[in-house]
Amino acid sequence: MRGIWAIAKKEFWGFFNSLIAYFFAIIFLGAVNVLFVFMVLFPNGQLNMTPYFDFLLYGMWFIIPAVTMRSWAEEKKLGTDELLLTFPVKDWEVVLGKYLAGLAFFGLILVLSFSVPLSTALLGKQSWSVVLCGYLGLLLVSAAFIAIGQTMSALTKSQTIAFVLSLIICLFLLGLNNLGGLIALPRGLSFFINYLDIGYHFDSIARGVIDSRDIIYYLSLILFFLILNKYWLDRRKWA
Amino acid sequence: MGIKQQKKFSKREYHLYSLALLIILLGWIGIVNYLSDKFFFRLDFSPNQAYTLSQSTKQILKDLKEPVLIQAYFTNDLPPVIKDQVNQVVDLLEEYRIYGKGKVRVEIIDPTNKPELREELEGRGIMPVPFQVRGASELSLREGFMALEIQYLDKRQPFPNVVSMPDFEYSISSAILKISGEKPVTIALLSGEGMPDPNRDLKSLREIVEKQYQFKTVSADEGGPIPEDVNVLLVIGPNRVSEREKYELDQYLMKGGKIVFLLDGTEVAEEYLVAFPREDGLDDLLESYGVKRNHDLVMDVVNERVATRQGSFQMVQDYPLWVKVNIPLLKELGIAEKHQIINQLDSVVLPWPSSVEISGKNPEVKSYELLKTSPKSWTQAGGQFVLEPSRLPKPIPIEGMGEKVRGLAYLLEGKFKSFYLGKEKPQLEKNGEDKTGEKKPEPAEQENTARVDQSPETSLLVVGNSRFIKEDYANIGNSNLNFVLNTIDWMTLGGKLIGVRARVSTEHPFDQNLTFTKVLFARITGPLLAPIAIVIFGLVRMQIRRRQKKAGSRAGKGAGQ
Repeated sequence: MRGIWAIAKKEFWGFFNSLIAYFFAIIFLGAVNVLFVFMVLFPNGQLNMTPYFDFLLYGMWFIIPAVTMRSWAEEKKLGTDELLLTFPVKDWEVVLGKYLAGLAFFGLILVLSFSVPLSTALLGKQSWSVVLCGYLGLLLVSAAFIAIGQTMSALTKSQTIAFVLSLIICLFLLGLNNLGGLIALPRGLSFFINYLDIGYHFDSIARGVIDSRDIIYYLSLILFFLILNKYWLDRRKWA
Repeated sequence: MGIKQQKKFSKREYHLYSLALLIILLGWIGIVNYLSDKFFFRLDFSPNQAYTLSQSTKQILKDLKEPVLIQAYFTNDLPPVIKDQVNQVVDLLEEYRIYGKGKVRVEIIDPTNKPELREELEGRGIMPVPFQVRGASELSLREGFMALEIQYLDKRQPFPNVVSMPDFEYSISSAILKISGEKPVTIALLSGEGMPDPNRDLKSLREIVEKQYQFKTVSADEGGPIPEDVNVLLVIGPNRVSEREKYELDQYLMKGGKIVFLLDGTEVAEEYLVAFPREDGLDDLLESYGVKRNHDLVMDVVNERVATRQGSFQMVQDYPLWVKVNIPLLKELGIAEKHQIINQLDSVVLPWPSSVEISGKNPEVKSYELLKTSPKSWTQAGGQFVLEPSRLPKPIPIEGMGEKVRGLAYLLEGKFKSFYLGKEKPQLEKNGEDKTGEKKPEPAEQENTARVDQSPETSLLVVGNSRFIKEDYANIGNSNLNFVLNTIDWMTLGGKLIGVRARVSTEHPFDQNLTFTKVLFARITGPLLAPIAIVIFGLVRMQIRRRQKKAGSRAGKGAGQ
């Protein structure tokens, strides 16, 4: 546990040493906030945060792969991954430490984005229960995207390849419903595709309904990619 | 712990191992997700718990005497966009089943490959619904079942397309209530001079009422009583009510009937923007029951904005004569009436309303001021009405005309005394001529019904406006229709369905009278606060790291020397 904490701490502060993390965080929050406030909130005259959550969701589709792409790829490129894995900690502790650092970093970004619901609450009656559920949904989506981003980063030395792969997988999971709309599928497959869609589960939470099925879906996705991440690291054990 | 001893696998072993692990992992995840779909729980934090069955529906299901069968007919391979909505319907049906506690059975059937069933369904008005599917390069038209049928004893209520039903729970619950009721409930519209045509002027209202109740028009101008099977009578914007009609209305109320009066105090010629007081002859009757409807025009700073043309420009501006009764705002101000009819409503917009107040002539009845203005309302009175938005008069600070809260609708409940107590029964007007001037047969006096001087416990609603419910204006306020429907529900079912309707408030409007500081903060500070905070944090951290590096290199040099 101490190992996880030490790695998480090191990795978390590592984000703040990277100019790219600042750059993406500023662009992401600035663009999403300004777009929402000037293009949606005031023109509509309605205190409805759903479009803001959608903006954040699609913004995270881009920013999370951009920030997590260096997680393992950079270590591999610099050769520090072997060193890291020889520390007196288990492989899964390293994976979990890195993952928790990413989660804390994006959690912090979400906390900062809370300035928008707070400031706009001055304009009318904010539905706080729905806002908090929306944030829970965003946290779960970011948790899944981070797991995907880090796993893709563990797959390759190239940050660009890791970025593109995560982008494609996240987009695939976000757009499955629309993809399914292109072709008529048999019931079983249609249900399966629908169930795999991240947006489908997010929409349910963002409207204020916390359903155990949605939580289990996200936890499954996170667990799947973290285990995959750990076993991709095991490739160094090849003969 | 030192350097770890690791067993080296061959590439083939590794692949097999990984594959096995992946299969086991996916298997476990699949099983967990499958089980989670069977055994799940939901917590609904949405406003008014909009995505969970309401207490009213649960009560309706609890009160069922016989089992209800809900058969949902869904084609299996619907496109995911429609499938999403179908899944939500299935989720809600599952809740109906659970809360029905054995009294509700739900069956989900795909009739696609069952020609006999399809034929049977088509005979009951359930057809496949056409929809478009986007292919790789073109749109194709397909069709599928997305219907539902509720069965109670030998009664059936079909819904051919549940996907296009925004008020799903309301429709289903009201249908269950309707077909499980022993006696049908009848809502009637009084016909007469100046009264609206239910098929044209009240189309939306009639369609919704017919979903749940029997709807018909009745007349009182031929000397006959209003039928006793009418549970609620709607009197909407009459030009003139004769003494005999008033007598029949009075006797209907005295026999326990319930009346909704939607009455205009002024006649507005919209095309010329002129108005004059309307004398429909109901003033003395209403005052005796306890309500006084004035012949003024109410204006309010809380109003619906209108688009006006100024030369070649079109501009949107406040129009205080379209009074917006914003229930959440009234609640915030602490002046909203606490009544189930309006508890969950949002805003009712009354175009050119007249004020309504308590007459004081019937102190025994309970009165509820359901609709009222904000504290910043004023009036025009005396017959000289100005309707042009740019020329509207300002509030006059004299008693009765200045800014204050004004009543716009009152609900009265209790026992009423007959207005005709100790008076002669009015005779039918002018034997013979109808509105076209042609002779018509002499109406037969119907004296066989006994005269009643005091009512049992009953209720009546008086609103100083009828336009808000007519087709042209019914949708300008998002709760216009729901206000009247809630009142009807309240009068007939004691509010059994009110909790189901309008649970999702689609509007979250900005507060009225926002200060410049608040708008500036929300517009500028809110969105830019986070990026600015990150920039400041980054600069501070950069400075600290620079100093630490300098200190480190100095210490290194010192050690080197």
